[in-house]
Amino acid sequence: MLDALAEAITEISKPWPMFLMLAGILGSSIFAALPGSGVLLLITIVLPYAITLDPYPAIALLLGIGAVSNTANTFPSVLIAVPGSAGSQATIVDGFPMAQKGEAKRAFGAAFTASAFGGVFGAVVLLASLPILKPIVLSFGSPEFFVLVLWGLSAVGILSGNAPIKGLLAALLGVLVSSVGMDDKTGLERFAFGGEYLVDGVSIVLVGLGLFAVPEMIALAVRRTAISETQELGHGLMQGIRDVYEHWWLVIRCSIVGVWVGVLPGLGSSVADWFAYAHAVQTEKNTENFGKGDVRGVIAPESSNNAKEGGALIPTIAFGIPGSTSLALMLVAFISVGITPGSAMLTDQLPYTMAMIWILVIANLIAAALAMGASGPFARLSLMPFYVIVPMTLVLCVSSSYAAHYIWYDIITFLVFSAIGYFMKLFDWPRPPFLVAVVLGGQFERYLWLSNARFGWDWLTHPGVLAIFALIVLTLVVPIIRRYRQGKTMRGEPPEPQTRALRVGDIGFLLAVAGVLVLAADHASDWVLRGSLVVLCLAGVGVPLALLQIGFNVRAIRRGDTAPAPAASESAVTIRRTIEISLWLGGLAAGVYLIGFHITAALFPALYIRTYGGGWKAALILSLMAEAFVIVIFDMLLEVFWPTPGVFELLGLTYFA
Amino acid sequence: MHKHHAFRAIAVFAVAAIIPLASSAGAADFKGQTIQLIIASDAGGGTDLIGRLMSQYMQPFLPGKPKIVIKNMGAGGGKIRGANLLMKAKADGLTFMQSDTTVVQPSTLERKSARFDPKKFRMIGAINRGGSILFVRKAAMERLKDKSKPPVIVGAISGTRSWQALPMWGAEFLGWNMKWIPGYKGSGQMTKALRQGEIDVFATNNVYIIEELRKDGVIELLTQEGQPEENGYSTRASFKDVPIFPVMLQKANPPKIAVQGYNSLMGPSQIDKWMGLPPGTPDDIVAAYRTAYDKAVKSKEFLKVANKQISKEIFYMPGKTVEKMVAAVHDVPPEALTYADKLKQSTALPPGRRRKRKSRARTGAPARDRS
Repeated sequence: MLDALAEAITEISKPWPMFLMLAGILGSSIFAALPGSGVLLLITIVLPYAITLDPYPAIALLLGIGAVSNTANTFPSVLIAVPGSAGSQATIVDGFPMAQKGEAKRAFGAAFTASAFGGVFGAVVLLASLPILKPIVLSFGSPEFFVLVLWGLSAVGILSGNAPIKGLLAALLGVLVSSVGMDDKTGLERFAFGGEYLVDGVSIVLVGLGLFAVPEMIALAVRRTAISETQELGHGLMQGIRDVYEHWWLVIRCSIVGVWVGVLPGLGSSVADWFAYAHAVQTEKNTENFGKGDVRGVIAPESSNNAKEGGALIPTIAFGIPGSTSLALMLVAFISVGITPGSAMLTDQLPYTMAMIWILVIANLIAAALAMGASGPFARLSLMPFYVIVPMTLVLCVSSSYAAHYIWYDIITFLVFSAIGYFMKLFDWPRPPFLVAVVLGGQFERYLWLSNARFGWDWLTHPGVLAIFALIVLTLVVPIIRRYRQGKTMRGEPPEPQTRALRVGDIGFLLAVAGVLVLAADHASDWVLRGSLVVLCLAGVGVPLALLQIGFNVRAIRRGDTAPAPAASESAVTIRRTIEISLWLGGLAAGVYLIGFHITAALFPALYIRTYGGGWKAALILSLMAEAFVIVIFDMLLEVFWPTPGVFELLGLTYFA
Repeated sequence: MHKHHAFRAIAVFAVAAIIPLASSAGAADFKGQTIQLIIASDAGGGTDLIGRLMSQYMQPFLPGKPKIVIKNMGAGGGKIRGANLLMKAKADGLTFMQSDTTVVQPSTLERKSARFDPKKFRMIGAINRGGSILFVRKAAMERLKDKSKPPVIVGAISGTRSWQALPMWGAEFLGWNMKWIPGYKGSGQMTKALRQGEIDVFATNNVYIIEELRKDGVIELLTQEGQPEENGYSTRASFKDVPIFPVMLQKANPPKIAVQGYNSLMGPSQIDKWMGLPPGTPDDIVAAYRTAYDKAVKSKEFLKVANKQISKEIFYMPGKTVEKMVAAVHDVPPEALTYADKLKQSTALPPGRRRKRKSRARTGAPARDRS
């Protein structure tokens, strides 16, 4: 093994593989930082070239790209609450509040250090587990997967904070969203309404953008300040690094979580960060600041999402089973250049395996250093005035939405989830349970079905199931005991009282949620029970919960248990500004539909900036930047075939792009 | 005499008018144009790989060497979305599609979202990767034909994979002792489940998966789909000793309707990864694409890469043949489709057809063509 390690480092430290690896890291970092482009796109672009290379340069290039795909995507997550990719959604929960507190640099310092550690840890685990690769992967069947998913979903309780009923309802809605699309066990096209758009389900990217980015931008546009409420940048980079050092045990635990999620093909790439976040909230002490800018809420997901890449190589190497689409593409390239996944990777081709491990280590360290270097300029964005950040972020959101499938429906879906996210934020509904349930809901249903169909209820006695179940109980019970010892109840801090108007509005929202669940159940009642059971259960649990919460709200209103209403003038300003920004967002979507992306991307930032006090120079520069983004990403890299905008179609004009 | 001259004049004018038409009809040229290739799958899948590879090798052979840009439509619904898009795309040669068996299956047309008719697509060509090989976990082999023992477990994806006809008809006519569990996500997940003993049977045409499982002593190969030839079926070169399923089936002497039902499911599998143009595409454009496909697929460079990336066995079918095969697949009596549906339902798989075909059969309208 040592010979193979030495041979591998000799080969990849030659100038050509080293150059390709650096190019891969740089490209990956840029693509990861730009929401909507994604590292998968970069792999697709380099694939035809990669298959012409020799094995070591091919490994260097492709793993240079793949290993660090979750490092630079922290920038948009922390700064503008836009997930750089599906693997960086959990970072928003505490990362964005840190930016609001003027701690963007600290968040970056912590995130990149944790990412580097996680990445290296994943590589070390891969190395250590080489002799037992196959038993590791084979020890997890459908029942074990199901209990793991259950573990992830149990985080909903913790993520709900002091609003347990609303948190649970949000999770039920999330499971409902996850049930949209083709059901593999029945072949039903659930909630597709006869169209083809929803047959593939709802894109998690659209849900994440709508739930987090837009509500935060609406709040910013109403507040009319910079993202950082302190107007300070501080010198937090070193503090962030120290944070990781102080929370080293959390980093190790979350890296292990990441590696395991990677090892188990079938859990999906967007699960690792949520599992790690949930694990942190479940096991750490003093959790009251999670969701409000706790650095541990950044460290946990960032430790896991790079560690996952090392873990994901295990099934790829051992069996040729890729855990993600990007690994599937890499597998094609590896086979083409003569690397055969399977048993040979541990015998004749062991040096190639070792080269992969080396690249994982080196690439993660370099990417973290690069990202640290870029942290300063990026962090300054948190001090920019709202009229710069809001329009640019909204353009980014709409373009990222469109990049899901390149059809108008994506933008409509994004707007729908933006509205849901806005109302959830307005009425104090916890949003992470919704997203966690969207990610895990489908897996929950699938593995429960497969376990029961294959083993009856006997699977409950499988040793692996019992072991994981014990782990779940432990992680759920330990915090309760700890809090009990500290003399606190599990109810947490009492929720801040809402104003009467918000309580009434919340009742309306609850009625809407209950209505959606009832309509969904009614729609599903025609399906075979195997396909409809989950939807019927959602309504069966959700409607009574919604009614219960309505009862609580009505009682609070009757008792006068409401916060004093703000001054009428203040409320009027908030409402006016909310309507204004909603109209801007609607206008942006309408502009894209009517006059196309190119013209809208140039006009929108300029108009917004000029309306809210920015100068012509800023308007021009930002318009050019937005236009350049659309041209470089969509026209040059994605080579999108644009649909003809409405006005062009009406006038019989050919769209120029 | 005048009359004669008049006819001659008309004939001359007609010929004069036809000549330029004919010459323009034979000169499809895409110089300076950008062509969109719709790939009816996610990036990274088998359909995507073949589409990307084919377009790369076809491009130099297309008149005017146009630029080709790729649009992935996604898996599952993406296949139907792609086909719907091709159905209504302009027949100007600037849009073509790489797709697979699902889209040409009669049962797919029964989906609410399907708004296309594959018989109307102008086929460019198809690549068959050699057909599926059905295998059984060694430890479960003895249970396969012994109904006194617990049945072997067949892992299934969503009921639309054509290979699922092999165990289905095997259970019906060859006495195979089977239980079905649909709901797995793909071949990768089922490979793992097979190694774990969670399932015992599935099929794939991916030779790398089969060889790895074989090398580790996990499976025994049960049967193969077989490639139809004029006088029967041929085996895959790498699996010459594996029995051909239609031959096994023939020995069991099934009723004609059962054979027709089997063909309705397996016929599309013979077509495998096909490439097509929108309905109504002019012949000159179709000819240009077919020529480019033919040259690409026969080039040594393509075969070298394709054998590594796609399959060690590549069977090429010209566009005209593919069109005939699609027509044949859909030329199945409704009773045979009903038979196939009943068999699917008996295995807990979703039926392909959810509506009665009577009304369509009466009107003669193609299934679900709402374009």
